[in-house]
Amino acid sequence: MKFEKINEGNYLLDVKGYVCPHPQIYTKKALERIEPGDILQVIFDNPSSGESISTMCENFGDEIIEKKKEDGQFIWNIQKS
Amino acid sequence: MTKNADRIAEIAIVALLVFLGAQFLPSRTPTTEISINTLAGARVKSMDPVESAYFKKELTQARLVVDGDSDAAEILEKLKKKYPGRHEVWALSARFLETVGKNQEALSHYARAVRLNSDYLEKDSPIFLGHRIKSLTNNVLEDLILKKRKSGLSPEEVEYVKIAYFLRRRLAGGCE
Amino acid sequence: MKWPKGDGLLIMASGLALGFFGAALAYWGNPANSGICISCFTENLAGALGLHPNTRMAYLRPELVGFIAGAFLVALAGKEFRPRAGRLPVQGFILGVFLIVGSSVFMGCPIKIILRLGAGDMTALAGLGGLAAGVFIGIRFLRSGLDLGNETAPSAPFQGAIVPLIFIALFILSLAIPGLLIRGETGPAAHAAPVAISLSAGLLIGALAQRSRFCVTGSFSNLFLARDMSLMRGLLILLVSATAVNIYLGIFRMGMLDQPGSHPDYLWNGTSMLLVGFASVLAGGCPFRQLVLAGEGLVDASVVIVGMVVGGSIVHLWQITSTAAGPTPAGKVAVLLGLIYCFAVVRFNRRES
Repeated sequence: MKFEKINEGNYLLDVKGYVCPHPQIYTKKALERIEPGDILQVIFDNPSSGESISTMCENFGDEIIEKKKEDGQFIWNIQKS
Repeated sequence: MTKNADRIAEIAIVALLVFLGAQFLPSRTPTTEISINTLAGARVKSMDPVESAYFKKELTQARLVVDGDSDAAEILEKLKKKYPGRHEVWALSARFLETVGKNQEALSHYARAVRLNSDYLEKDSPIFLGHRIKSLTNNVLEDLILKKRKSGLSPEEVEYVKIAYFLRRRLAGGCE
Repeated sequence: MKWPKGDGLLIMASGLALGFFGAALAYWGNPANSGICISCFTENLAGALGLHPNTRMAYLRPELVGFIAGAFLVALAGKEFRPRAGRLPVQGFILGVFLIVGSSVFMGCPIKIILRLGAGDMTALAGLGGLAAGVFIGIRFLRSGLDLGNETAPSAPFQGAIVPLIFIALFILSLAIPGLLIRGETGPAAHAAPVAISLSAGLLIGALAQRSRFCVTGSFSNLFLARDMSLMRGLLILLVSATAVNIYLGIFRMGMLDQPGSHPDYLWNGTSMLLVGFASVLAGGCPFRQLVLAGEGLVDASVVIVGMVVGGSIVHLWQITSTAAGPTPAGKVAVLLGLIYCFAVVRFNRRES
């Protein structure tokens, strides 16, 4: 697992290789750490986490601004509200 | 979670474990010969061939005595002490108790026999006693429920209610 | 409420299939209220392999093979078969053992909680509460920085296929060589739906669950963590469909004291399921989900399953499994040890991130 600041307002969370419920938990924790307006890039490869991350963002008001899929990996950009 | 919450969680966990551990302390001694707890903890005992041969001989003798009804109670007591892990002994005692009209005790003895060997409730089994056990269970339970409404139950009778429901659950089938 | 689509529909279809077949398989021959029960089936498998002497619980259930094979085949077909490993194997193995220990003290796996509720067995409520509490505890610890290590692709991709293939091979062998595996002639082992029905139901459910990622403990963890209802909706449909089928078949009977395959010791019903919920979160899914994950190639799930089979053996060897009379002393001790083990896993894997 890797969580780091790329530059001002941009963060990276790499949870490749984790299965439920870890990616959701780490995403939630990471979102709690950053400031409103900041963007978190989450990289994960556990398909079942996708649905629950997107529901989580919906329920907490955070916006998923970009969803990419590259050979089995999901790269999502989430903006904290 | 902060350090404090961690501490509280740890205390809660220890408390839970202590509480569960306390469940192992001996509770009041059961007043009936067979209680729901002795049923839960009953174990099947395996025998070596010599022991098994002796057991069979004693059991056959006991069967003859029970049918003749002379000193049966005493002999069965001895057998139960000697072979508590054998279902045959409990089933035989149950049959005897039933013939002398001690239905509640008979029921608890059947329960113990069933607990040690569920084939008593298996239709295709040569030792099947399902119909007999079922009607006895229903009779005993009916009497106890009536009595409960009228005058309440003694601790012994409460234990027999539990045992009757144990048999009800086994009669209903399901996984073991 | 939005009408779910895509994955949401698949989850609901999985719940529907599990509820329908869970109730109907019991009608077609499986033990009462045990149409589908991963822990019972695992104990049956251990018995069939001769790992415990209780032949009443000895039968290789085609459903069990179906779940893992269905998930395996659909994952292969959908290019979702990705062998992954890397978590702590011994730790997962023991978690598998305790999954069955907890389930056997309750007398059923998390799916059977719902099936029992659907048949009117209210003693299962204590188990449901315990399960939810166990998942909640597990989630709290995961959030507070527990890291169980991540999966990476193993050097030999074949690893992920070994356990699914063994299940399939065992089943074929058991058909080809009668008498190879032990089959009990009395008790629950003698109660079985026809092989063809069992196997097809298993394959269908395994396939659906692979696509939908249905998981009982996952339903609770997603709800607690993300207020995500999608999996929980599947669980509710499972309950509703099982109840409907049971009412239709005339099996439904509301009550607490005389339900088949149960005991009314609420404290230990709840505590044993607390253990199962906790261990499931640490292992990454309920016993059913472990089968599906193993089918997808997750090596850690394969290890958990081997642990579950060993658990299915020791619960009978050591009289851990409860009977209708209630939990045994050994069962209570085993559940406590399981809880201590789970807390130890948490304690020694802590890593602040």
